[in-house]
Amino acid sequence: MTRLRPFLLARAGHALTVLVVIVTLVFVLFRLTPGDPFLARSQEHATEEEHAAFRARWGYDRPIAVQYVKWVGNFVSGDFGWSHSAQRPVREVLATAFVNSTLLMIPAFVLGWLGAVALGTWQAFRQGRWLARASETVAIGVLSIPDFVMALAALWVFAFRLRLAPSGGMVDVALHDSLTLAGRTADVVAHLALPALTLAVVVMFAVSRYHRAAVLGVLHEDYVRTARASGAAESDVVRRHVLPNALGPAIAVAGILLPGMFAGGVFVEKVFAWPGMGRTLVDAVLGRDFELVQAIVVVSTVAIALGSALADIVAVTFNPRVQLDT
Amino acid sequence: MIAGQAERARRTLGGPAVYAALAVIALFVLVALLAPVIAPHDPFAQPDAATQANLAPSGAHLLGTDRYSRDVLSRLVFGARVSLGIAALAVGIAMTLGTAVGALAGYAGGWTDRLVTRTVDAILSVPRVLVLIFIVAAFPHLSVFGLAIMLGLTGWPAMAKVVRAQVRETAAMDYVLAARALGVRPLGILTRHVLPAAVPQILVAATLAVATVIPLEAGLSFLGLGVRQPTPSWGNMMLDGADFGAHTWWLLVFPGMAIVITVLSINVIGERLREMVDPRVRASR
Repeated sequence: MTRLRPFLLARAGHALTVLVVIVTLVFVLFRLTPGDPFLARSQEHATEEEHAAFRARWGYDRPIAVQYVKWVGNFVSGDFGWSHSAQRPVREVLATAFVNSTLLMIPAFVLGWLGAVALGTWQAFRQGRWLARASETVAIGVLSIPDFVMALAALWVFAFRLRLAPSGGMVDVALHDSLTLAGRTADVVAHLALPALTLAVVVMFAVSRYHRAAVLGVLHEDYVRTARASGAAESDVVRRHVLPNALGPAIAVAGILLPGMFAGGVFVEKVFAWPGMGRTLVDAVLGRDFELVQAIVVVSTVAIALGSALADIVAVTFNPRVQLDT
Repeated sequence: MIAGQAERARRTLGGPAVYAALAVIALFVLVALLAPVIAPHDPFAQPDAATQANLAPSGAHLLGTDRYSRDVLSRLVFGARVSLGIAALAVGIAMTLGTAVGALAGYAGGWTDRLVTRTVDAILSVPRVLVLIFIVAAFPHLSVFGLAIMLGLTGWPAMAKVVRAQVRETAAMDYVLAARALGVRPLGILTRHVLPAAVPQILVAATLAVATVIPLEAGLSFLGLGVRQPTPSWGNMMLDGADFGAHTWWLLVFPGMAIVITVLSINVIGERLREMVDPRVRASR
C-alpha cells in the first residue's frame, strides 16, 4: 500500500482539479448568461418575492468572490435549488434520476465489458482468418454510428417492427401499479433490456479493440508456448495463462470509458424515454430549468470524477505492473 | 513478421476502402458547396402541409417529404452544407487553439506545462456533450455560427495533448539545440523548427476530430439543442423523424445514413493516416 500512496494522492489531486475546473466553469457561465436566467423567466410569471428569495439564496447582491464561495457552499451542504419544471426541490428530482441512470448503466457496462473480453479474445485467437477480419471491419463500422442513431435503429427494429420490447419508458404506466413485486421487477427489466443492450453494444466495441491488442501481445509470450507444448488444453491456456495477463488494459480503459458512457446515456435515455440523469438534463434545458441543469452538471461531474478515480485504483490494485504514472 | 502484419493492415483498411472513403467525402463536400444547384426544391418551402406532408419517396420527391411538406432530399443537401460547415469551422478553431496551447506547454515545459497538462486532463475527463449541453442552457439563443464556435472551444484539449507530446519530443532534438545556439529566438524556433515536425500528427488528430464533431453536432441537433428549425442539419432532420407513429422511415433512414457514411469514411481515412504517420500503430496491428 505504501507503494500506492503517491499514486492515490496524485489521483485524488486529479479528481479535485476536475471538480474545481468544472464547478468554476459552471459558475462563470452562469454569471455570463445574458441577464440572468431567473430574471428572464421572472418577467413572465415569478412574483417579486420569489425573485428576491432567489437572489438572496444565490447571494446575487454580494461581491463576486463571496457569491462563488456561497454558491459552492450551497452545493456542498446539499441545497441544489428548486426545480421549476418539476415543482420539487432539485435534490429530490436528482435522487430519482440518479438511481434510474445507475440501474441502466451498471448492467450495460457489465454486459458490454464481458462481451468485449469475449470478442477481443476471440478476434486475437483467430487473427487473420476472414471471420475475425470481418468482425474488425464491423467494429470500425459500429464505432462510426452515433449513439442516438444506434438507439433509434434498435428502437425501430426491435420495438416497432418485431415488437420484442416496449417502446420506451421505465414501466408500463397502465399496468405497473396493479402488478405484484415480481411482476413489477419483470416490467422494469423488460423496459430496461433494449436501452441497456444498446449501450452495452457501444461499450463492447469500444473496449474490445484494446483487449484484442492486449491478447495479441500476450499470445506470443514464451509461457503461452510452454503451456501449449506441455499439452494444456486450449481452454486452459486461455483461462489460466492468457486472460490473467491480458486483462490489464480492459480494466484500465473502464475509467476512461465512464465519461463516454455518460454521454451515450444522454442519447439512449432520450430515445428510450428512460427517466435518468441524461433525459432529465435535456428536458431541463428545453424547459429552461436552469437550477436543475447546473445541479445535474455538477453532480454528474462529481460522479464521473469519483467513478474514474475508483476504476483507476481498481486497475492498479489488480495489475501491479501498471505504470504508476503520477 | 512485422512486414506480414503491415500487409494485413493494408488489406483491412488500405486500398479500395480508403479510395471509396475519399470519394465519398469529396462527393459530400461537392454537394455541400453546390447545394443550391443540386437541390431539386427549396429546402424551406412548405408547398402544402395539408396534402403533401409525410409523402413517401416518389418521382416528385425522391426521398419523400417531411411533416411540413418540405422536400427531404433538398434538406439533406442543404443539411450537408450546415453539418459539414460546422464541422470544418469547429475543427479549424480547435486545431488553432490546440496547436497554440500544446506548443506553448510542450516548448515552455516546467510549471506552464504542468498547469496546461492538468487542465487539459481535467477537461478531457468530463463528457464534452455535458459541457456543450450546459453551454446551450446558458446561451439558449445560440446561432449556427455560435454553435460551431462552441464546438471548437470544447475541442482544443484533445488537440493540445497531441501537439504537446510531439513538440516535447522534437524540442529535445539536436537541430533545435543548434538553432538555439545560433541565437534564433524561441518563437522562431517554435514556428520554423519544432511545429513543422508536428504537422502530420496535427492532421491525423484533425481528421479524427471531424469524426467526433459530426456526431456531436448531429446528436445535439437531434436533442433539439443544436441547429434549430427551420435550418436543416442531418441531426435535426432525424428529430423530425423520431416520431414513429407516422411510420415515416424515410425521415430517419436518409439523414441517418448520411451521418454514418460520412463518419465511417472519415474514420477509415483517419485510421489510414495514423498508420502512415505512426509506425508503431502499423507494427501493433
